[in-house]
Amino acid sequence: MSTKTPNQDRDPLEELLKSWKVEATLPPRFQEDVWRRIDRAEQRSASSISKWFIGLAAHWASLLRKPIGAAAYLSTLLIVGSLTGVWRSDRKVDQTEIAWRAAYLQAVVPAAPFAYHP
Amino acid sequence: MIRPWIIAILGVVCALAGFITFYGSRTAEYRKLEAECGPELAWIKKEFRLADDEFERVKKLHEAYKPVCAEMCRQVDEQNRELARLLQTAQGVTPEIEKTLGRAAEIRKECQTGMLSHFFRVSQAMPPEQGRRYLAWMQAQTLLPTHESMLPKIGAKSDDDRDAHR
Repeated sequence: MSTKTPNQDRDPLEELLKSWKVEATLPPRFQEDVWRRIDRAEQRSASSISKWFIGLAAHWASLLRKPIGAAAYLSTLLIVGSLTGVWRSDRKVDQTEIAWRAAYLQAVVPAAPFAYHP
Repeated sequence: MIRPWIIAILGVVCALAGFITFYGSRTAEYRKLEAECGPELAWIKKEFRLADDEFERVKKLHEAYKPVCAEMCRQVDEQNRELARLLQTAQGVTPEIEKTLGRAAEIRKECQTGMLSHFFRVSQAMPPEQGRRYLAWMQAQTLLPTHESMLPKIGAKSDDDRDAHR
């Protein structure tokens, strides 16, 4: 059986920590400053994306204001639209010919016994 | 000074105009042909470059052959149904199955003869060079299949498989 009294169990470090008192003072409006800095950092990260878009739009607008920029933009879109039209029409023509050929074969070949591969 | 957003919208309009112009002009002939001849005969007219009178002859032959072809299809279907019915209960090749197979072979022969006659008549209604081309193509598609083309492709599912998964 232990014969130690409660005073004998005390840790000397614990005693020391209890006796320690902070004498330094925080700078004035310390908490307020911390919150302000957090708030500013958040605003900076959000506005960098919108700033990027605004910058891009402004850059585009300045390009489109110049006659040469506007002409380049309009002719690029005209060419892109036309080439897309050519590409889609080629595909449509191919698909149409395949469908027509299949329709003709279906109309003239009696069904089952023949191998049929349009 | 024109505002930039007006030019931006104008650009989209230009792109659409380019697309519609090229797509429309390059498919116009096909749309017109399909509206005039229907999909079956549009292919014949376009592929074999038929003049109007040649096309009219081919069209008449086609219209005359269609009911004959439909009747042949009906007979083929009937024989297939009969064969399927017999095979459901059969343990071996019975005389009935043999008779049905014989009848199916007869119908097949009739169909092939009728079809081939039609191909010859149509080819004769075309200019000689186009007629030869038509005949060769139709024979290759219908009467002269290679052994390979009759085998199911590896990895391809049969219609029955597809139905079973629905």
